[in-house]
Amino acid sequence: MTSPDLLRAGRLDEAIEALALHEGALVLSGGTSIMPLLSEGMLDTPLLVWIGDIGELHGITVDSRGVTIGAFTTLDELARHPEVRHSHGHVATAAAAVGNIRVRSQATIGGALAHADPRQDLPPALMVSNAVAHVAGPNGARTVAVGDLATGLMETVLEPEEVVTAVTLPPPPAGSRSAYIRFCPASRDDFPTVSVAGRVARDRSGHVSHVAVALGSVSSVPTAVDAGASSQGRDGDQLAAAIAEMALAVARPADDRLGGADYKRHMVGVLTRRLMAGLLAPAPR
Amino acid sequence: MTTVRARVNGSAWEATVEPSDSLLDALRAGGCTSVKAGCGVGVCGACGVVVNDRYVSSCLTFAATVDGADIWTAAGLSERDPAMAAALAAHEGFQCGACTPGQMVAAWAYVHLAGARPDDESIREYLAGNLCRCTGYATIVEAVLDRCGSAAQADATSMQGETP
Repeated sequence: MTSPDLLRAGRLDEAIEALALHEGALVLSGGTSIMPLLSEGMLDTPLLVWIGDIGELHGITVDSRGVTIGAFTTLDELARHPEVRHSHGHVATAAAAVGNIRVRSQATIGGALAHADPRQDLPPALMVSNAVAHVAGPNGARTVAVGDLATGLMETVLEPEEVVTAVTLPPPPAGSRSAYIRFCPASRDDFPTVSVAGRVARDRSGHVSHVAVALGSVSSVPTAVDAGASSQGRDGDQLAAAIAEMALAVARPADDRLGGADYKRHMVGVLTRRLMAGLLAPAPR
Repeated sequence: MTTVRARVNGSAWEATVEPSDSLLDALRAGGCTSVKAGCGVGVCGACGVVVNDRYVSSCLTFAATVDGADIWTAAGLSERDPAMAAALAAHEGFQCGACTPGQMVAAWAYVHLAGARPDDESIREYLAGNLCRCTGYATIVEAVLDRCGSAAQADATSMQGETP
């Protein structure tokens, strides 16, 4: 294994061309995952394509389509952004939970999605916001729902020559509330043992009209809970318990240093019920 | 090999680096020893630096990506903000000293970059990524609180001074 070369791409098409030209080349974004993998000899790549100098990958814009976050936006910028905090508070909470302040000042949203570690905080939160990733490649641009990106442990639907360019969070349903919780029994800078993101909305008559739930650290990919049609006239703690049962049905955790599979399954039930009960409780006045 | 030109602690800096070299290794190889090597995976904070007003781990930063950047280590930041360094000394916010340069950078970043309303909780949250194996955390937090208090006083004084 030889030390990779590094190209500082000035433009997006230059990055894509380099990725297409060099088999095994990788996008280098924040570098917080690539650097440790490289120094531990776990990555074999001839070329790293640095995308931090590409202007169009920076910045957050807000318009009628929602909040569009440039791929090179750091997790700290995401966690601090007023509109993200206002309309997608669970995303800001998840971004602020990652690692430590230095990692959050360096790691990017695009890098996180392409890296696709199922223990990450951000993907379940983005899935609850129905987030869409914008992807550019040699044949142009396409969009992929964030929930469809990961296909396995650090595997995605992205082609080797494709670059995540941005992520759009569509406007939330009117009257929605959302939250993110992570269970981290060891050091708070570690990956969570289990994490849950959720969002609910009520219609004008107060009936639950929208439920979205996603789980982290419970399988090889971030996992959506298909709870959209779950209310069926139920509400409050009764509905929270029903959604927790649905979460248990899709969670497939494995034994690892963050906890045993049975323990994680138990905590999926506990955390999902707790999160949803809080979101379904009468709003504080 | 590639050549990187940047500014380190306000002075021109040039290094010839391998593409996969970390900024930590490049700085230390070039004689800038005020940045310390610790865990090598971004957890401990010993190698913290400020690059273009971002507080990052130099062990996770590729040296080849900082061409043209403005880089600050503990040595430069304690000169830019002598009151922060003095507060660490006055509160004895150090024991064996191994983590101290990293703590200085973290403290500077909290005071100047975090945009937080200074209080015990937000300081502890911000400094949580800096490990002190002597567990001398309480005095480090006190030093940052003290520095923020004197900064708030200085701001109030200068604002009074600017009143027309």
